[in-house]
Amino acid sequence: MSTQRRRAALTTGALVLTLALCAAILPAHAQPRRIVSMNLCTDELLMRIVDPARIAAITHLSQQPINAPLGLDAIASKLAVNHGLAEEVIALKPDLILAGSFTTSTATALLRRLGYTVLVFEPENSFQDMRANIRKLAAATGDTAKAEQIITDFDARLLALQSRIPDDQRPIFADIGVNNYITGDNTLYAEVVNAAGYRTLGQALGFSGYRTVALEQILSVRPALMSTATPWTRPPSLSTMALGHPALRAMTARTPQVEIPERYTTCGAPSLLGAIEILVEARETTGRTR
Amino acid sequence: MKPPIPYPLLIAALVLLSLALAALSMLIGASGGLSELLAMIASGNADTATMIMMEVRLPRTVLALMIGATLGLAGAALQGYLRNPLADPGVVGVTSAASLGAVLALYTGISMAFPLALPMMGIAGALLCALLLQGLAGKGGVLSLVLAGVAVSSLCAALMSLALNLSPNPYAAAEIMFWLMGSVTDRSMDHVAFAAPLILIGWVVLALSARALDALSLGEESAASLGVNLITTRNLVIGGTAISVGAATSVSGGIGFIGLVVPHLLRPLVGHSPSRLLLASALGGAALLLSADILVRALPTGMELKLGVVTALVGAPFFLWLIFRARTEIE
Amino acid sequence: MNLEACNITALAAGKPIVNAASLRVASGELVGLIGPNGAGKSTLLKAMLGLRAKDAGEILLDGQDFLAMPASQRARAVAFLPQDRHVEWRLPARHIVMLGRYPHRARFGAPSPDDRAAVARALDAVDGHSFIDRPVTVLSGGERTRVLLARALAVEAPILLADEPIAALDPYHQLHVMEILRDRAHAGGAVLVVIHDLALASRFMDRIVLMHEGSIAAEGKPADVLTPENLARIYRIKPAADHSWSRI
Repeated sequence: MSTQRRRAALTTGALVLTLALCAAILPAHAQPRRIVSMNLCTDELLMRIVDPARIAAITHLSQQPINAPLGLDAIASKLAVNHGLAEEVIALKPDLILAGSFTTSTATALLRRLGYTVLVFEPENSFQDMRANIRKLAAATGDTAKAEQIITDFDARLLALQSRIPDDQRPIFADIGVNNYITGDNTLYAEVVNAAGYRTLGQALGFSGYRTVALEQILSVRPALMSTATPWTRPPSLSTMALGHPALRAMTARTPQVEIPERYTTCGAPSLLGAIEILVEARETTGRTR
Repeated sequence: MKPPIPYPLLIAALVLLSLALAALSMLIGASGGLSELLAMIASGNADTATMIMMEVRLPRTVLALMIGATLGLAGAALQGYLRNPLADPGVVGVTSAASLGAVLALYTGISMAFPLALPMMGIAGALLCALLLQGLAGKGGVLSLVLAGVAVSSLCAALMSLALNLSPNPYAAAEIMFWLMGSVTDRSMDHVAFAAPLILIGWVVLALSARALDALSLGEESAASLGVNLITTRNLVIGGTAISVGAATSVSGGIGFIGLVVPHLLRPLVGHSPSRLLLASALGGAALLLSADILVRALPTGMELKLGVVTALVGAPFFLWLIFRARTEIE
Repeated sequence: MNLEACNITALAAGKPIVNAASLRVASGELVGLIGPNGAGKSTLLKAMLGLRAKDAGEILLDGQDFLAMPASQRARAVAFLPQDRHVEWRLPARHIVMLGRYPHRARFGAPSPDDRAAVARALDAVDGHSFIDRPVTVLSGGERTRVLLARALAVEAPILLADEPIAALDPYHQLHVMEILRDRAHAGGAVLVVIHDLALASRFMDRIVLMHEGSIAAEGKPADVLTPENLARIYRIKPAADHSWSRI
């Protein structure tokens, strides 16, 4: 080859090599490496999507046994924690902060004012919201491939669980929360219950959203499955007294019971599968409409 | 019978106390004390340390001082005007109205639009309350004013309960409840910039009533015969309270007992003079609220206690003790 | 200097408490306003001060419309000692007397030498130097009245109106207060006093105005007003043997 051509080849090769290196390195630099989560639900999504080495802190709540996300104990216990205070978060020198839209709004406002990137997540109200939040988080952290994998896994496991549902009936599952708090249609909880082949008490009574319901209305329905267990019985409170009402106890005595850790349904995240699995098991063994 | 301390000395002592507490407040927080901050600077993180001090701890300290001063000052002015040592800013309904404005902002989601939306709704509530009070109390005296204040308070409390009752989800209800408990956590210099001008205006208006409050010790008739304009005095006290306490409550939520306890504590030290009590209570309130906020940060609970909870926990038993002691003096 | 009420009518719930009453007090005289309970004495006094609304008539200070004057000017011209002697806070007596200088003092700032001198003169007049530093709430009835009277005197207004200043005082203090008021009048002040004690009224007053059911029933020297006919008709009492009264 002539000198000119050799030079041209070398230059082109160098250029190509540089571009290739850039393509490899630059996205890695754009990926946040010190992510702080200030919200229980973003904690779980973050731990599933991102390598723990890039998580600067999660909330202290995720280290409490009662709030532990499904299968993530090992990871959660090793991470640093924060309590939702701006000062703590600043000291962690984050390059990305995840927050919920409720209760830490002053901290969020302050952090944004100081120039930090804060990504705010609305509470998930459906599986679709969950998928959207997973994708939103992954887009910010540069893990879109991982996000799609998590969503695919979730959908696959969901289908597998749903294939175990014996029939098309939709018996009523009465999950009575403290103070007779009932969940109705258009909620994440209802979608979970529906996915397992049941209807919620609220859907049977015909409303949407969250409501406290009079005891009489609860008693007017005949559920196939019930849950009144709540982890918050110690120390006692007035709200749990409502659950001890004799009429309710009578209903409890003659209806199959199931216990679903509240944490599984608090967030729109793969932990939902834990709740769905418990319900599907109950559906297999007891679920005949009455 | 002279007061135990000369007035200038008392004021100087309170100013020094407030400054000392301010210095202490700058050195206490979630990311550590003086040694941790120095370690941050030493390890090349001086900008982080500066940001924490200037943008997180400083606004918090300034707000605690200003809000405490406002509550103490307004409490002293109201006790002087109503000639009743049990009065506090809540009596005229301003704190409830400001809280209602803020709760409505949270409930309707307006608070999400921009961070200052919530305080603006709060101050709007306080100003509406002041107008309502003028309308209800009319040309009447102290009694009609107190009754009007009670009416407004009750109405606002009922509406806030309604908002909680009807709130669309448990998160919104929890947020309303936490806001009502009172806090200066994570407030920014934006909050200071919003509240400070209104608070300062309120202070000036209240200070203008000082002389008349002294004359009112003799009763309304004597005061009027000395040239005190009772309607103007009432407007100064109510207006000043509405503006300053309204702005303070809008930023921090409901904080009680400061306006009730501080004037009570300091009254014997200023020779029982209502006019002198104003400045003393302002400084005393500032020091007391800042102390409570320092306590909030220093206590080793996992989540921070709410400021209003601390003032109530400390204030209520203390107030009972004051009353008990006063009773034994009388008997 | 004189303060004059011309044909004052004051209504309460539609009924006339004061009915076309006229009254005048001038420098150098101690005038007593007497009458049975409910005659309208306090109401007339308060209407004269502008503390209570009137429905008809005028109040004139040296011929000028008194109520149209600014409040501070009125306060410097006419001092008032009300019936209510309650003081809310445990203020030292000295502080109370200094409040009488309110119409003369600036909004902010310490009392001037003139203020202190006026307070000293007022204390001299009531002989109050011995208890001046004690809290007013622990003083006896007589001492407290003298402190509040000193407060009214400290205004150094040409005209002084007092509403039942000797009520609930023992005889010693009743006489003392009446002497202070008489001295003030003789020093050039115009003093108008609402009073119930007929013996003291007759003894100390230069002139007496007798009110009955909202109107002025009689006016003049004590002997001319406190006649048996007037006493019988208006007070429904007659003289008894031991220089006191018995009911008719």
